Amino acid sequence: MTSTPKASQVVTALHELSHEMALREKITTHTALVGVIGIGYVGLPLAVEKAKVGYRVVGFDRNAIRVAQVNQGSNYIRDVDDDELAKMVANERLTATTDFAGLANCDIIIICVPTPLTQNKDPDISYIRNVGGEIARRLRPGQLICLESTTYPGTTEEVLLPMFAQTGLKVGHDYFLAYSPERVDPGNKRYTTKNTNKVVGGVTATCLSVATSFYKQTILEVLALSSPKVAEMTKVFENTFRAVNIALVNEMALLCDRMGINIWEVIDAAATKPFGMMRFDPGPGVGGHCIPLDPFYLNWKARQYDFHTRFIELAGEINNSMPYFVRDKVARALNLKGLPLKGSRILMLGIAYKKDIPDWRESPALKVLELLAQAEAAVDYHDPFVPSFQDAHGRTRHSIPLTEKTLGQSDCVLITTDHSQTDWDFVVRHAPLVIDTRNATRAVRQPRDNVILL
Amino acid sequence: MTQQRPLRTRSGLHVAPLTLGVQAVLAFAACELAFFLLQGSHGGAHAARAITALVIFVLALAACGAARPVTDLALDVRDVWTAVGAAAIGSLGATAIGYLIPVLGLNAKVGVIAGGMLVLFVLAQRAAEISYRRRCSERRPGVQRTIVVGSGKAAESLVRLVQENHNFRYAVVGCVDDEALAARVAGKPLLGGIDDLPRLIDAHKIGCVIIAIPSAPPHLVKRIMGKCLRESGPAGNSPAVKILPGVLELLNDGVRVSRIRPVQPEDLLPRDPVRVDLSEIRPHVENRVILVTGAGGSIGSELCRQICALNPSLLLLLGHGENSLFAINQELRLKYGFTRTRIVLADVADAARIRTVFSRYRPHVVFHAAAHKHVPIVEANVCEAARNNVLGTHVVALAAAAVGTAKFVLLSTDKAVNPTSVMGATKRLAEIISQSFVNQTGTEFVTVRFGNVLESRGSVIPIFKKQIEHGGPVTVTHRDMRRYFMTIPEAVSLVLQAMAIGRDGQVLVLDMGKPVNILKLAETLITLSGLTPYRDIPIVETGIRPGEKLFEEILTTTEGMSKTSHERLFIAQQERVAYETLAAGLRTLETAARAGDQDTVIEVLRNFVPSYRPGSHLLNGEAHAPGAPAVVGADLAAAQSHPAPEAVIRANGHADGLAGGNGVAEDKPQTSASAGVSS
Repeated sequence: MTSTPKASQVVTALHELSHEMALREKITTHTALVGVIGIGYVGLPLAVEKAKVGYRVVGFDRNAIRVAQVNQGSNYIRDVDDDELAKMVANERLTATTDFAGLANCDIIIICVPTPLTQNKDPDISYIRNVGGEIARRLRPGQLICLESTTYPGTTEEVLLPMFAQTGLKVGHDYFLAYSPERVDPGNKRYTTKNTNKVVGGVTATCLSVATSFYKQTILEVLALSSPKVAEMTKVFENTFRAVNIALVNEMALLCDRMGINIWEVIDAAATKPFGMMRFDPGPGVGGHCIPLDPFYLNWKARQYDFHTRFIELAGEINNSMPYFVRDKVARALNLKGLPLKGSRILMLGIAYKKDIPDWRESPALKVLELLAQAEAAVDYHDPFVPSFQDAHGRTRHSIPLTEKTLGQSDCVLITTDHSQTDWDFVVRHAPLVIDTRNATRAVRQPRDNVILL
Repeated sequence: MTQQRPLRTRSGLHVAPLTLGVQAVLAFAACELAFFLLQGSHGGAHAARAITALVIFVLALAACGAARPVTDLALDVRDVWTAVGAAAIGSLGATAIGYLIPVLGLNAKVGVIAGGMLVLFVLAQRAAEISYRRRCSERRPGVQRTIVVGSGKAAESLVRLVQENHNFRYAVVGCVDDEALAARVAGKPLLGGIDDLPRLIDAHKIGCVIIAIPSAPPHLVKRIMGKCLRESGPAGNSPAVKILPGVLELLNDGVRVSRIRPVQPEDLLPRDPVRVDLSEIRPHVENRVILVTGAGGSIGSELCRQICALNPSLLLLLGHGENSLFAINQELRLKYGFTRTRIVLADVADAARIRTVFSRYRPHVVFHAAAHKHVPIVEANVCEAARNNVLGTHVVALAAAAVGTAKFVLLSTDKAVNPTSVMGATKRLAEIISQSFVNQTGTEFVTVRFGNVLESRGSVIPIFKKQIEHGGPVTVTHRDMRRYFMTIPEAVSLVLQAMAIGRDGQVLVLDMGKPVNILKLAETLITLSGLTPYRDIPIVETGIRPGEKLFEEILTTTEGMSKTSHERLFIAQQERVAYETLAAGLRTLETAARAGDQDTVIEVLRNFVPSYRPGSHLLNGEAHAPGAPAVVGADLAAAQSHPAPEAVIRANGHADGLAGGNGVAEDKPQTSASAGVSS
């Protein structure tokens, strides 16, 4: 027996359907108003991409300086093209504001806020909570909310969903909630926001389908997953994978150092194997916003399930020890020249956490610099991307120019970041001693007796 | 002595024929003397020997260049080496010939002794020639007999330079100094103390006195001036008194005669010399891209001059007046040989343009000197001033932070402290903006605040000078008005120092020395011109104009001061306003300024600068009264054609501001309007 639906039920269903239909239509016609919360290195490129395909985009950020910079078309993110940003701003397709009241007008809200760690290395999702509160206060039918911040599995459904549920609106019917992690690799010229595959997990099937159709417009490959949890786990797993593999190769480097084997030769050789091998390079430690932080999100969540992520702990231990190893390596090299660390002039090349980007926060070079400074070495640095930064003691340090004189006057040149634009031949030619933690000098063919590799 | 025409030998050496002739005689004498000493007699049968030795030595002298013409009027190390070289070669040659042809009787002993004597003879000949030429040089027409005041390093360098260079027209008779450091200064006698000057000037018919004490305090300069001017008869016969520039200029350039200049009024102002540490500044500038906004202005252009001496990889001259930018660019090219410049024509408040410039050049240090700074003009153009001074700073600061500029230096003024003028209030708001960026970006925002500078366009001294040239009257606004004075190069070198030592969010204040009473300054200037105040040149008091203060404060009352590593720089402790709080106000200001809504602009300024007390003309709507801002040009014309400046000033409070303003004196040398005191 089939029960005929009551008229009221039909009306409600049509009404709900109409929210989805209306939003889909706005997505198809690019008339949806897109709000991007957090206009940093993830949010701004995304906002520009969306504006480029015709959406009107509003960037929300608590940082009023960033907001003002966007509104005058000044670009502060290297991965964003200066002219593209300026054009979108001039066309009024992209604006920014500190006023979250505008969220009510947005049809699609993308959350790109940071997810740092607390002092105790526990996940700090206060940004997500705050933003969730701001959205919940203004939630209305027909909105799609997408979280992009890296976080532990369960955040979308355990943190955001309850906040939104309190409004009485129904997820998947009135509004749509999904998780789709950012996969931004700052400084990567080959893989940008546009051509990096994206995964999406929706709280309901409708959420997933709406979110997927939105992302498909600007991203070449979008993979639909069964739930936000899977998408969240995917992201932390990716970063844990990198952290563990870097730790493995760093451990190899420590061993090779002891055995007198050139680790770089080993890696180059191993990388020739066409299957079952993936190249990772050792270095002075790990940095950035993802690799040093994200595994702790997983670790923390795992503990709630009585599970200990031993690889993550171990990887963290090895990676964190690398700056100490680099200091010792410098001390040994200077020792052979009859010099103590104390009072030796050390020129560090590179303070950014990886090549060709201006970001020095969480950089292992900071730790190395601090350790050398603790040993009372006279440390200077040069970094074409970081003209100045504040060290651990709040003291501002300024990059010094890379000249024959500055190289020649140093007792030891320590390469901590392999920026592409640096002339390594020039460095090796004029420096008395080079300690290369990145194998940046691999292409230097001239006599290189003064170069010591990690 | 006529100038010898030098011959060029095949090897490319210069040979002065007459000099070589004299040296040939000396060589002959040396050889004969050597024979005589060694063998007791030089026997008549040895003409061949004598000729051989002579030919060898003369060839050696010519080849070594010992006979090159005298160019510098000083004995050079090269003279010694050529003489020694020629003698050594000659000795060797003579010995070798003597060995081959024993009958000549030449041997090693003869060669060595002859060579040794030749060195002495040739050096004596060179010294005599140089002394003779110096004397000739000093007796040319147009050369002034000169006394140098001072006996230290600078005096010695000066005397030496003057003597050694043919191009300078000073003949140093001697030196005077009260605390003599030596009995002779570079060979010139010490003639006495400063009090002996009048006597010495008459006795030696002195035409010029050069003060060569780089650290000379103003009272000393004044005293020397007095000795030279007062007691030497009619004004026409007084010697010219000139002065070597101060320590700062000498540090960078060393002593050069071209730097001797007439005594300027600023030499008489009570202030201490400024010292800067170039080693602190250089790393921020050398091989870097530096941008100066307002580069055509008086402060901006001096910044460019001092920066180019520190060898930046690129110096961007940003401004909106192409003439002044062209002028400073030419000066950098021609005078300093610095060509790595780009002229960037841009309005600082034009966000799109500024952003493009920053994105293209990514400057390492930005000096933001662009501002409308003439108080009376700004009072009459409130919206444009707010746009340029406030919004311009905002735009440039945002762009600088976006491209990762290391240091943003805002040049501010003491008028920003408890401002009474729109100019001061806009500059204070610019400071607040710059400070609000602290710790928010990778860029360090430093503000440098200084007082009135000498010879700044619209500054008081040039105005006074013009008034004196035109026979007066010299106009001062108030007899009690006091101002700080510092020369632009001094202030700018302190700005560079502040850039180096200033930390994020700091406001650095220059110690401008002691404030000077403007009336006293006017009297001094008239006296310096050889005239008597009140008798030859009247001094007229015109009253304070809108926005002017009797006395400029450098700190607001709520600010404490703390020291920095530099004795002339202090940190003003200030309460900071969060950028978030500012943002909305700036949007309001922008809309209002672009719409010409003066009342809202003033309101925003008062809101963020509580200590700002606007002039009454801005509060009760008088600014909109007929005859005020709309007739800027007309007022100026009226003021200029008006025979009695005070009448104009009293006729209309606003015209007071304009006519008395700096723009008048600066743009129209014919001005008869009250110049008052510059703002």
